[in-house]
Amino acid sequence: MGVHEERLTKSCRKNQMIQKTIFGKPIEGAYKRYLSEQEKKPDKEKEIIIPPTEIQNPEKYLILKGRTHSKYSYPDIGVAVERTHHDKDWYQAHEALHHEGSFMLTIRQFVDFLSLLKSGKAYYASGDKADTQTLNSILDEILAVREPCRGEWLDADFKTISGALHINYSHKFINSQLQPTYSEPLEKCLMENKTPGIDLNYWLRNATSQGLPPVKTPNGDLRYWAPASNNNSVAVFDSDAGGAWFDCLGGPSSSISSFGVRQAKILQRK
Amino acid sequence: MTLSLKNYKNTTEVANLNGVPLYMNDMADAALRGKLNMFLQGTTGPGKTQLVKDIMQYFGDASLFILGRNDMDTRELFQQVNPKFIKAIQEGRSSGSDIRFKELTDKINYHFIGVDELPNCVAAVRAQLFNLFDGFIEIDGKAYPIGAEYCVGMATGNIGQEFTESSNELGRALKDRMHLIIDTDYFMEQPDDLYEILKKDRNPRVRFEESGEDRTLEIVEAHRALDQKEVPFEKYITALYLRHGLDYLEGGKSKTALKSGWPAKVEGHQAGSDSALILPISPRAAKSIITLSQALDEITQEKGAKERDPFASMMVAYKFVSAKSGILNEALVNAEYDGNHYAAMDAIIDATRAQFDQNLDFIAAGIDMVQAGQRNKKVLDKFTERWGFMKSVLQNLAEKTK
Repeated sequence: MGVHEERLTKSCRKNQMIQKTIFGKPIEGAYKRYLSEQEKKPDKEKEIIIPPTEIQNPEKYLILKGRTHSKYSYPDIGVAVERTHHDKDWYQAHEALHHEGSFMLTIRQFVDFLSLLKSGKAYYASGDKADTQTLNSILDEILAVREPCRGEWLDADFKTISGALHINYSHKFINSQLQPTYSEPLEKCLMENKTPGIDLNYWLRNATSQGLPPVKTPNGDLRYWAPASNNNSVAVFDSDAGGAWFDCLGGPSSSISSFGVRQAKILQRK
Repeated sequence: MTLSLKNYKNTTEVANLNGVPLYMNDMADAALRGKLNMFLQGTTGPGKTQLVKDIMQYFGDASLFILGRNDMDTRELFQQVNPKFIKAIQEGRSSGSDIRFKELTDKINYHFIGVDELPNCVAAVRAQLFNLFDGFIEIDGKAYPIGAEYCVGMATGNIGQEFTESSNELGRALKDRMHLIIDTDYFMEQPDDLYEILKKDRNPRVRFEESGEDRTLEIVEAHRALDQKEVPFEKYITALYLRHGLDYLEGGKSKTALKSGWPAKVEGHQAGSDSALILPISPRAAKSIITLSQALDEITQEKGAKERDPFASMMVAYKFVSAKSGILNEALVNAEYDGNHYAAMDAIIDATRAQFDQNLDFIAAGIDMVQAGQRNKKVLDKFTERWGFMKSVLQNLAEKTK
């Protein structure tokens, strides 16, 4: 046994006697709690998360595993396979989601969601594996250049604060006011409109931690409207017969019948 | 043990731990307690040398100050360390097991070596200085302990960022031998500090007071006490995460094994995450981080902290040990953090905290399981990907605590 290992073991033995917590969390009973929670869990996909009770139709949500992007992290979330709440503006969409315990995808989460769909390997919140055909049809619904127009709001609001363009995201209702959890200066990203367009796959692979395409994103077919400092822009992704658009110049008060939002819910590990 | 520096003044907070603000002099204090060599990097004039000289005062005769020059050779260095060295070397008594040469080295007994403008020294002299910091002299391939049980080095240098970033000889040596590298440009003194300094004295020269209170024994004793202090289990877990967790890449790949392929070969969403921003710490850095963390905990307690937060303490230590240690992706630091290594470390620390928050229930369950003398595969299997190390830790502990 190495010296380090020995110290670790000794430390652990010592913990048995004197240490009752780990990183401030009580240790005693943690194992039993884990086991009792396990008993409630159906014996399906072992590594995957079991949905909380408020997800009524777990087979309608895909699991997007929690990720860390530089200083931005998010936990495991369930992302609806279909858009809902059409014909609402950006604020109304947030409010509707809030009332049902859901939230809007941030740009970064949307990028990861597209990557998940493209990977061809995803699980429903029920634990069942989603077949590739279904994933492709979700992708097609989002990206295909065809009629009718389809669009979805994303949780990013661009504001100029102290002369610097900021991105506000992860909005929550606090005292009936929609407020961002994060308000950060925009990381260096592509600030030039491209119509057409940028390389979708490059964006998905190399997005900044805030989800925006990097400065040197190669040209491609995805139309891109860069964030602007007009203090009245939010993010939206939409497609129609003219192309697919990642638009950071969306008007938050516009309601379009073909625009909806994709529900997301935090999944609890059991 | 409270070290109040006589001339150096800087009340810019470098960190806040356990509710206690920490300043540059506290970092120097922690380095002394931990016996960690410290390099102060930055532009000329903010007081790096004054800090080193103020620290020197506490070591009385057991300190040595060297001004780095490019025309200094090892002969002159040894002359400064002890004039009899040169004679002994000339007489060939450094080879073999000459008892008198051994006595010579034993008599040196320096506890503190301060070097100003270390990068000015040629590589051979620098190498000997690093040896002195670590308490020995190397002559003809043989290491001679210089007698002092406790020895630590503190050096300064006005070097360009490219030195610590690049893989040139100086950059490599600094990263290898200095445990703590702090860029003082990011911790400029407060206006009030400068006002006080200017009011006291307009002499631009570094103040070097001959008579100082010799607190060598107190410092050495503080180091001994720190060394014997039990390290909280949380700190080991944190160190293992920083070493093994941060080595993990999707698909079971290892950043370390990618060698020069990192970070270019990091793809997908990982390219925007800490996976492409930082390499895992080395085992040596893990020791430095734990030691610095322990020292900082002691300092905050002496300053009135009621409670200790092992994770927060490790993160402060991680920030200062790693920021300039060469494990950050310089291109990304420049692109995303305006070249500010400390800002990049803050982002990594936020991400690390989120990782621990997300896995805390499992960690607690795993440790509770081990303490109950049990081993449950379902619990162990919860630790995957960058947390895979935790599985093997718990497996080992389960075996050993049977």
